[in-house]
Amino acid sequence: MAAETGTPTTLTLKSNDDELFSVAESAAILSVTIRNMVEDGCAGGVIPLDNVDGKTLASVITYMNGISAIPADEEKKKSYRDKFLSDKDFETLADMVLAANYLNMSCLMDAVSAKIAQVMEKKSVGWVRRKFGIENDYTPEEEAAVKEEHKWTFEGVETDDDN
Amino acid sequence: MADNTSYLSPEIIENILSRLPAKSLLRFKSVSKSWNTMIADPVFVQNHIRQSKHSNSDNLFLYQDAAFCSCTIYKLGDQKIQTSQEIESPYISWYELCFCDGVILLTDGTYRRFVLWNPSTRTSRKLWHKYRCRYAAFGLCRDPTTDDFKVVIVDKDYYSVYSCRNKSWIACRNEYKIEHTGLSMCAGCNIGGVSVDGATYWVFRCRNSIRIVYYDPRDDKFEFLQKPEDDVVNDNRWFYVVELRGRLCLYYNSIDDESTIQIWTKEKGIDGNSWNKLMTVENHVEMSIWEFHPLCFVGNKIVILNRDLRTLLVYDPCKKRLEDFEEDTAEMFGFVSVSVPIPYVDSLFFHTETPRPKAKGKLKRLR
Repeated sequence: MAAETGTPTTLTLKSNDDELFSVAESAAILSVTIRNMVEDGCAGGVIPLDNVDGKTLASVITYMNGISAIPADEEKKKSYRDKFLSDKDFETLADMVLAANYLNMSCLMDAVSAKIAQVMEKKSVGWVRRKFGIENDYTPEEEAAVKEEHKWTFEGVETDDDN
Repeated sequence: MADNTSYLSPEIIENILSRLPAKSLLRFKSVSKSWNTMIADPVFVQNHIRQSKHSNSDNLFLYQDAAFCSCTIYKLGDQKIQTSQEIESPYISWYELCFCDGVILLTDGTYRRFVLWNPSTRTSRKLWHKYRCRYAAFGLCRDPTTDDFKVVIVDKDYYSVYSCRNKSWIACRNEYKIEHTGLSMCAGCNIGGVSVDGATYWVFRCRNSIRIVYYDPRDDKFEFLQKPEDDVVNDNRWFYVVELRGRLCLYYNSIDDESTIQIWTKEKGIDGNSWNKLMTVENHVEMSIWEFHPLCFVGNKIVILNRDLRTLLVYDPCKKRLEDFEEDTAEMFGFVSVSVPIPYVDSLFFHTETPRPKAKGKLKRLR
């Protein structure tokens, strides 16, 4: 590492749309992907993160800094994560889960996956297809049969707000 | 994924879906054929139960109230109880015998007709036993190696095991180690065994000593479990077992001091035999050991059901005190004399089974 002993090391991360971000190494190594690069000694210059865009990376760095500032207190970390994710919409959460997966950050991955599940819980089948980009490959008869089989699970479903 | 627009990989989608309740998952089987296959996959079902037990910090308990023909799920907190949801129960006047991973074994009172009911998927499976087994002990376990649910009925001189996978009973007389030892005669106190780690555990009087026996689903045999090395337990006074945080726990009254209750916990795994002392409860309200029934942890506190008064209390190990709930729990639970709240675990077991012949054909192809 280029930094002298005693000074906190700073890493430079580059998003796939060429935005540069400075982040303390101690926070960045929450990502196993980045930690491996640091350990292999290939983090001296700019670290290119080809699968993450600038907007998402900025958000992930906010999370890295926020969570690493909290001492080892699982309750406090959990409430930070809840607050951090509380106002994010589905698209942002989907980008974050991809970034967390690519960066190999299991705590963020778990938190975002749980948040997406929470958002989905009462949604309709149509909403899920649209948001996940999934094509309906059932014939109308097949779909009606699957729905009929689990009829009661369609009670209490929220009406889609983005039709 | 079958389509070209989905940007999340199947692994990520599976990880997200494993955190959803069974009701949402059954609905999302209509999303696409690949989602249907994924949700029905036995490996996914296992991951889902692991996830739902792991994240179940909500302490949900199901309570059937025959007097009001209702079935309610309660959320137990620190001196607080909330109604989470009401569900329809097709088995309101049946007796609950035991439970495991969200599935409950009930009988209608004939002790020949039984049903396995999963309230989270609203599915059930009916079972007929060859004989009436009014004085048997019962167990329900999920074999950790094969994922097969097994019902164990231990009667006086034989035991029967029903395998949900094979859909058949086997009756065993040979190598019946606990024959005539009285496990089947302990009806009334603990006919339902405690399911932990895939095995079922019972406490019973064997000749002149109180022992723990367990059924191991891996080889369909019974074994005795070593008790903690403690003078009191070995003094042959009665003790009880429950499941707390996925571990088998044993508790009893101290011999020299009736006002304390000792709780021990067994190491994880069927083959783990070592015991550790968990805590000493200062029982200043003088609840008898029979009345004392631990239900769950809330942080480091334990929610206790007083089986006689039908009230809930919270034991705080820091203050060494049993404290009342804010709500009048006697009012909520006081009407039913026998049943205790059953842990409500969201699980997908048996959801593929349906009485419609068409879907049964589909199930066969999948397996």
